[in-house]
Order: sequence, then C-alpha cells, then structure tokens
Amino acid sequence: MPEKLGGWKTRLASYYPYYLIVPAVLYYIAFWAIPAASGVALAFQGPQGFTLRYFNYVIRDPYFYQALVYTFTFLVISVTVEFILALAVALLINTNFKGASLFLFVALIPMVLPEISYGAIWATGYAQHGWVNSLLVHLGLMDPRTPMSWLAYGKIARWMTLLIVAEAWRGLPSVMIILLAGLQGISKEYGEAARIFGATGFQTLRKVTLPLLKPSIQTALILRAIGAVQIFVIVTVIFGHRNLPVLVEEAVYYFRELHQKQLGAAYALIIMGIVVTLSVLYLWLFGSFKGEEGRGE
Amino acid sequence: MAQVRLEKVSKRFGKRVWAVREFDLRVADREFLVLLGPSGCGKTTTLRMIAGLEQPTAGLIYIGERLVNLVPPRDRDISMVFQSYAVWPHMKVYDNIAFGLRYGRRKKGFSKADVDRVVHEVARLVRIEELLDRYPTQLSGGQRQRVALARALAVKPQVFLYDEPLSNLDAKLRIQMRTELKYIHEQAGATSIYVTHDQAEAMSMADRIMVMRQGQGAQLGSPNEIYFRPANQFVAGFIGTPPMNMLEVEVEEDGGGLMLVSPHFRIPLEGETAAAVKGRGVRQAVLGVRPEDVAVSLEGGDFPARVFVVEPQGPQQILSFKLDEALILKSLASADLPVSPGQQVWLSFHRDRLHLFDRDSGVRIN
Repeated sequence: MPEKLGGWKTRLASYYPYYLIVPAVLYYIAFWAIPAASGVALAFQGPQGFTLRYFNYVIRDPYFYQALVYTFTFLVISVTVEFILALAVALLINTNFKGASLFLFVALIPMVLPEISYGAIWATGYAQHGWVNSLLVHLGLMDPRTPMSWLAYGKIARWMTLLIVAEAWRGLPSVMIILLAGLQGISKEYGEAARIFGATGFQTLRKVTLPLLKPSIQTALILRAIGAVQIFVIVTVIFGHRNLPVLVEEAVYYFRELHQKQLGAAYALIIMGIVVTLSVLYLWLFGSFKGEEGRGE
Repeated sequence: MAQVRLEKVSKRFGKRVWAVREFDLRVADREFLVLLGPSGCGKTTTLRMIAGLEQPTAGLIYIGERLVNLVPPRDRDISMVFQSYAVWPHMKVYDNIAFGLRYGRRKKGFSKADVDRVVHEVARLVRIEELLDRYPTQLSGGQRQRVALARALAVKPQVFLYDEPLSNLDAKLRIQMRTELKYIHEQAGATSIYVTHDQAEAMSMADRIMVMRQGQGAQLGSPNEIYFRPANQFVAGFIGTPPMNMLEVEVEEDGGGLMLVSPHFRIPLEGETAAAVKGRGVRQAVLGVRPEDVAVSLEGGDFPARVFVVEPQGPQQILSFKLDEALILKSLASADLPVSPGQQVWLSFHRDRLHLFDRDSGVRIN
C-alpha cells in the first residue's frame, strides 16, 4: 500500500533534518550555551540575588579606563593601518604579476602561527640584543654601540607603536585574504570600462573598485575590530603582565589572579557589549540596514 | 573623423599561444566593420588591443593619424560596449552614463548643465529616459544593455568598439537591437568595430566583414562578397546556415569542354569558371554548393537522389540526401514541394553559383 499523503510516515520524514542537527545542537548546548549562560548568571548574581555591584566595581577600577583607552587607541590605529596595507597588498596580488601566488603564500605564513609564538618572536625582537636592533644595525640605520631599548618602561606611545607593528604582521594576511577574495569576485570589465571612460587608475579604485568591494571591506573591518578588542596574549608576552593594560587582560586578571569570578564575568559581558555595539555601528555606517538598492549583482 | 589602422599586429599570451598573428586591417572613417569568427580566433583580443586593454606583442595601431600603441585607453577617444555590459551596479543609471563626462580629459568644458543635457539626450536616443533614477540591478538585461550603449554614446567618441554586445540577450531582443544599433551607428557618425561570432548579426549590420581564423584574416569584404564569393573553404563553410555542401570532384576533359565528375554526378563547366579551371590546369577540386543553390525537382535534373530527412522551417524545408555513407547533401527547398523521406527526386546545381576550391590549400579557384 502506498503511504497516504500526510500520514504518520510522511510527518516523521519531515522531521528528518532536525535529527541530523541533534548532535551539533547538543554540543553547542554543552560547550557554549551552558557556559555562556552561567557566565551571565555569575555576573548578575550577588549573595542576595540580582545585583549590578560587580559592574559597578569594574567600571570604578582606574585600570578599566586605562584598558579601555588603550584598547580603543590600538583598535582605531591598528585596524586603519592594517586595512590600508592589506588593501595595497591585495591590489598588488590581484594584478596577477609573475610570482603572485608565491608572494601570496609567503604573505599568509604569519596567519598560521600560534598567537603565543608570534608574541615570542616579537618579544625577542624588541629586546636590547634582539633581531630588530640587529636588523637596523645591518641596514646601517643604527649605531651598534647605542642600541635602542624598545621596551624601556613607561613609554606608552612607543609601546603602542610596537604593539601595532607586531599585530599588523599577523592581522594583515587575514584582512588581505578577505579583500583579495572580494577583488577576485569583481568582474574585470567594471575596471576596464572605467579606464575606457576616462578614469585614471586612482579614480578607478575610488569610484569603481572600492564601492564594489564594500561587502568584503565591511567583513574584514568587523573581524579585525573584534580581533583588536580581544587583543591580549601578545600584549602580555611582549610587555609583561598589566604593564600595558587592555580589556581582555583585565578580565583574565580578575578571574585568574584575584579569583574574583563575578568580576571577571562582568568584565567579559562588558567586552561583549562593546564588540556587539561596534559591529552594529559598522553595519550602520556601511548602510547595510538600508534596502537592496545599489547592491552588487 | 577616424579611420583605424592595424599594421602587422600580433599578440602572444604566455610563451607559445599566438592569439593574433601579423594581422592587418584598415577600417574607414564612419564604417561599420564586423570582426567575425569562431571562438578563439582572436577577434576579441584584436578589439581589446584597439581599446588599449591589451598591449600588442608586435605591430602598430593607429586611430586617425595617431599611433596609439602607448596611449592609455582613456586618451584614445573611444567607447566600448562590453559583452557583460559592465554597467556599474553601485551607480544609478544617470551616474553610469555621466561617468565619461565627469572623469578624464572629456570633463574639461563640461558644466553640470552640459552633463545633464547630454545624459538626457543619449538616454532619449536609446529610450531609457524614465530609468535614469534606477540602479542597474533593478533593470532587465536588455535595459542594462541600453544603459551600456547610452554610456558609450555620451562621450561622443571617434570610434565605437563592441564586444559581442548582443550575445547575452534572448533571440527576439537580439534581432530588435540589431536594427537599433545600426540606426544609432548612423546617427552617431563614428567608426564602429563590432566583434561577434554570430554570422546573421554580422551579415545584417556590417558595411564590411573581416572573417578571422586562428589569429589571422581569412577574408575581408562586404557581406555579399563574403557570402557569394567566399575566398576560401573556411569562409565558405563558416558563413551560411545550413552550411555550404562540400563535394570532392575530379575535372575531366570531355570533347573540348570540362566536366566536374563525382561518383554521383557529372556536371559540365561553363564560362568563366571553366576558363579559370583550364588556366590553372586543375585536376581535383572541392565543389561548394549552398543548400539554396541545390534545386529539387520531381521531373528531372542533374542527378537522382533519395530523400533522407525532411526538416520543415516554415516557408522552407531543409532536405537531406545521403549520397553515400560519409556524404550528406542538403538542400533548402520551398515548403510547397511535396516530398517525404525515401522518395526519389532529381537534384540540380545552380550553375552560376558553384564555388570551386583547391583541394589542398582550400583557396578559391574560380
């Protein structure tokens, strides 16, 4: 007998996709949803029930403002620098010059290094007898008798620069690869038409290539901004603990060093709030909430 | 006023692939010239070299009297319509059309009001005035094509370059756009170079056609010359649907006259053709006969044959005759002729429209 339409077998079969995602859902509940929920609970749960005292405490900590300012300074400069450099490299590779694929391969190497090892590479680099000074001496840019002490304590502006340089080395490839993928998705004829109808190379870039690259730029900027807010390991490896306080480092400090789990959780929630706000702000700035008008094909 | 001249132009990709080889071309001022050929024959590469989007490996390109090899595309005083239209999706139709008037050297002397006037003028010409405020993504393929056309017209170039502009449109729209393009070409008074692989498009639009094959010119001539006097077997076979019948024949002397002989027929050669064959002492040749030059009759003709397949085409029908295992002859006959598969009929060739080609080189003999 053929099964009647809408019979129990048909109904059972219509749930089939849901059976397939059960393992993944269980995994997420166990390892993501439960920890996240307990983290939220931790941040709001005082001895007498619901409380905001941990948040209150965190934002009164003088280190919080320092960390906030440093993190945001780092975010703005580092994302800008990385974006401009990455765009230049992506445009270069996209011209498909001879050896472009080898160049791409080399440029991607920093991306696969674990955070701790690239932190170590730069920590040793910035040491008084590190490879940065050696390099400068070799290039004749520095007198070997007076090496630069890059990490001299308290020079915050210099430290920030060092941090941005070190992080750019790692962040650049990931921005570059997103932009390159975007560039390769843009039909070459758009640029060719611009050249024929009178645009110079720079005008073509500004009026045609960049607007068409907008979705990729948006993705790259959001990912890098989130990455910048979460900067932590490299800071402690190069400068030591709490010498250049940043947000995530503070959260970890409360949680691990002071064993103030509630304060750590509150910190984490604040960071999350910042990341979400940033992302929404970006999307709004890029006009993603407007209609479909003028979008790419 | 611009003629376009290519002198021994070559283009090599990589180390070995010659897309275009020692190609010569002279396009007269205000001429509509079509570059026609199968895919990979080098026609698009040739066009892109004229545009300046590709650099020739060797040879000289002139637009007007100016050598343009080293001139960037934006200074060549050209327009181009692309196969994919290349209408910028992030700009409104208006801004797409105005682009060429706002950037580059053409912007000099163009006030905002001038730009506005020109944009409306060309939009009216291609009938998209009501779409100026839209984005290209809101338009159909045909409308986008018109935007691309308007953009090309707006800059009033000396030379229009078309790279298979109609190949992405549906068949009906394509035929309609042919007529409009030809009209626009006449209005614009510029030189047009048009790349296509569609022979019907080439025949209907061109003043002259350059048929290309493997990076070289196979024949340059008016549509009628190309069709009625193909210079070689390649051109003869490429132009025309159904394609020309090619039959291997021997030339025999028969009491002072010449006969074309095959296992299936004997046809006397007359007049000019006979003289040409005699003069060259040709013994073997390839006889080309277009399907419409094969007359089908129930009463009598050059030789009998049996109908193999009948393909109705409305006012006409294509009849196939299997002369032997490897040889199928096609005829384009009136639909009024009452025939059916298996029936025996008589075939005769139109004497003035026989094409004889050298068996080895494929070059036309008569």
